Amino acid sequence: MVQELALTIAEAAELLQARRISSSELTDRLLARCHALQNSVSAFITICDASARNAARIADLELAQGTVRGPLHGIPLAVKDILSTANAPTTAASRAMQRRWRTGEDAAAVRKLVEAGAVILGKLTLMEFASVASDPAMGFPIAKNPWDLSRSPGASSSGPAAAVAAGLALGALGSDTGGSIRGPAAYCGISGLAPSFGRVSKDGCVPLAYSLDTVGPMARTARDCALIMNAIAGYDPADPYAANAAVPDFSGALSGTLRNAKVGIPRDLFALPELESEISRAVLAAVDLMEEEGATLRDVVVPHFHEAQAAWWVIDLAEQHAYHEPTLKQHPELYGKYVRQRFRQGAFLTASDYIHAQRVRSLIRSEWARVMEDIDVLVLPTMLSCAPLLDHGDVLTDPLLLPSLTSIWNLVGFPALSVCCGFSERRLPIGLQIVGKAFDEATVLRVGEAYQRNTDWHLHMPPL
Amino acid sequence: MGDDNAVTVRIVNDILMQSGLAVTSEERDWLVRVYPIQRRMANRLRVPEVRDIGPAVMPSSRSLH
Repeated sequence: MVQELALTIAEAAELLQARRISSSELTDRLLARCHALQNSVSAFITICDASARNAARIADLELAQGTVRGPLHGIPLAVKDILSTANAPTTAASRAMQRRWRTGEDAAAVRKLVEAGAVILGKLTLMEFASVASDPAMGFPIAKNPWDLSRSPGASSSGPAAAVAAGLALGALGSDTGGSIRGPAAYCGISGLAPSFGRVSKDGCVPLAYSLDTVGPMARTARDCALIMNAIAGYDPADPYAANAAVPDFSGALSGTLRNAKVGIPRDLFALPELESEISRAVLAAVDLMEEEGATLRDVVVPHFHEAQAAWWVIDLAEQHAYHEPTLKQHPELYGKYVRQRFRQGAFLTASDYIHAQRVRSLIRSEWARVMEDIDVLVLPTMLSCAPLLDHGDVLTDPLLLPSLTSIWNLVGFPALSVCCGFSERRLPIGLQIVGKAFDEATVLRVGEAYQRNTDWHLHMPPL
Repeated sequence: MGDDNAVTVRIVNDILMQSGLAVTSEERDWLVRVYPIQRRMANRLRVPEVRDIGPAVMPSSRSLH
């Protein structure tokens, strides 16, 4: 049992294709664990027992006939409940969500997983509408961090991160507007990739901020993220933001070495007073290891960091207000107390603020493109601290006052991966962020996977 | 300080009225508290380097990259 829980997607794929385990066995065991831990970890909104078992049975039949769709064939995964699926309603963890939204339809990314043979175990919980926090009074499950159930798994892909860390699913799909894949991945000790803006179709994903949202993989390893990316990346005419860019073989590009990788270090960001010293030490130790393994380090200067924070905030608040404005006026009571206030904030911005934010965004994007000309990736902490307690601070005001090390990459549209690089004294995971050039997820994943070949942080399991 | 707060309260009330958003008094107090923070944030965007950047449209993946 324990062995199956600790499996990566790559390991499970080998076992499935060698017929040493069946998809049905794996799915049954994981479904049993999902139900057993729902009261404590609370990762799911809907567990899809019947459709998952049926998909696993079909996967086994195909494998028995010698048909192998690829490395995701028969692999049990789960998706954040902001993506539509044919097998369950989509709630976005909100009573304000339109009932029957895209009923019976898989979101593009989910459809691609299903076509690749994956088994969808269910819909994972999230912060309401993928925003900052969920109001417990609204009745949706609030996920707990498997490393310490009194702590948050992060916002907003809380369910996906908790599920993967707890061994409830071998991987998951999340969404990331300002760090919603990478923050929870860091807090829960797993790997999570926010792809380049436009790389993965958002068709069937409830919007938060149209021009910042991305859909991406969360799994135990960077290699597993690459396997999921192979299935979900690519142009989709149904998504107006989708990029018609060539899609590489992400897992095929994993060379396993850091030799000759040019790694940029934004020293200014390591000096932020809000960054906890434990985090800084762990990430710098990882940077030292990368250098020992053959990477070349270069210090880089961060352009317009404070302006980038402001531009992201204005765009995020304005776009989510635009999406939610009608419901917010007519039925504010349908939103939880945190999200209701957060979504109102956009009303206090002017059209000029939004235009300035997009102009600053253009400036910063070109500045970062110049910085990236001399390096392959940038390495920095994912979060300022380890997972906070569930009832911590002021979830509405604090994000306005604290700097973010993740949102800047949504602003410029670059891919960014979080991988575990150590544990705090309290035994909480620490995340390291690897940022690449636009559409160069392959290099980001290559560096992440090579780092994981030299460390075992990603193999640790929480004490559940 | 008191005058500043009175001005902020008036601005917040005006915006809420114009935008048709109904709030509780507790919610209004919070919006009044964060309004100056939001303005400071938005004013950071008035940097001279962007004067010649345009047109400023919501970027598609094509225009962003």
